[in-house]
Amino acid sequence: MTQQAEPGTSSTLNVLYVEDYPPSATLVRHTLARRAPNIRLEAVTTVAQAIERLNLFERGRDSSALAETMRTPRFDAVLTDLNLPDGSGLDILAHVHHRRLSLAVVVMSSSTEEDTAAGVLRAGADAYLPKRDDYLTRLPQVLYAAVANLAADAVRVSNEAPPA
Amino acid sequence: MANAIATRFGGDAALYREFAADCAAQFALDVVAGRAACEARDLSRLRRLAHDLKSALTLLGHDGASSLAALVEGQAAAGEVDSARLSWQSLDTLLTRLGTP
Repeated sequence: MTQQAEPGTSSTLNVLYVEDYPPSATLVRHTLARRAPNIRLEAVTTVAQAIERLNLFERGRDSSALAETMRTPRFDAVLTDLNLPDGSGLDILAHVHHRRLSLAVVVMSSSTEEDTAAGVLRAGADAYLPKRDDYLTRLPQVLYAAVANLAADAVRVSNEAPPA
Repeated sequence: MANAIATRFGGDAALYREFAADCAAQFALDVVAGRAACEARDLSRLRRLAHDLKSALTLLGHDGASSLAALVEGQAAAGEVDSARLSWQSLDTLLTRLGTP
């Protein structure tokens, strides 16, 4: 089935995607290619790989590292599974916060425990997406909304800052 | 399966078929990994594997097998070695069937 890109998904998003189970990773890649082709995924499978990639991203923010920046796509968001082979998606979230990276973090899990969502959001994730029902259909909008909310928060904080 | 395609894949039957084919190939590997985890009494590995399987089986619409994977995951998380290994044997049988073309 060929599908049209969904409304509100026309701008390009670069997303670091962290998932270790191959069929799940392929499914998300194919889903986004069909439903939101402007979302570009770079996939890794572990916390360590994600942090290594985010460190490259962070170095790319330094304008003196122009050559590296040109080789390194900027990310708008991290989409991560909660359960990973060498840790948790929350470890990646903590890294993003600790390094003050301007990235939306969306956490997915197939956990059926009621307090998982609350715990993920309490930890500061921009969105939590349980892997059930229509989560694949909702994924593009959740990513775009998380990035938009982060940008809106940044503007609000900037406006509230006292003049220098 | 029609219900899974409608509710979980937005009606995209081709996407479902691609995922099912990927899962069939992966399940063959998962069966080997699960047997090895049981043999080594590696409950951490078994829990993670069951967790991944639970998600994939739910998406495929195999709700009974998904519940069994959830049972293995819970038993492994609780440190119930013998129960987890016994439950895995049942899941192993289902996965072998699902992974066979």
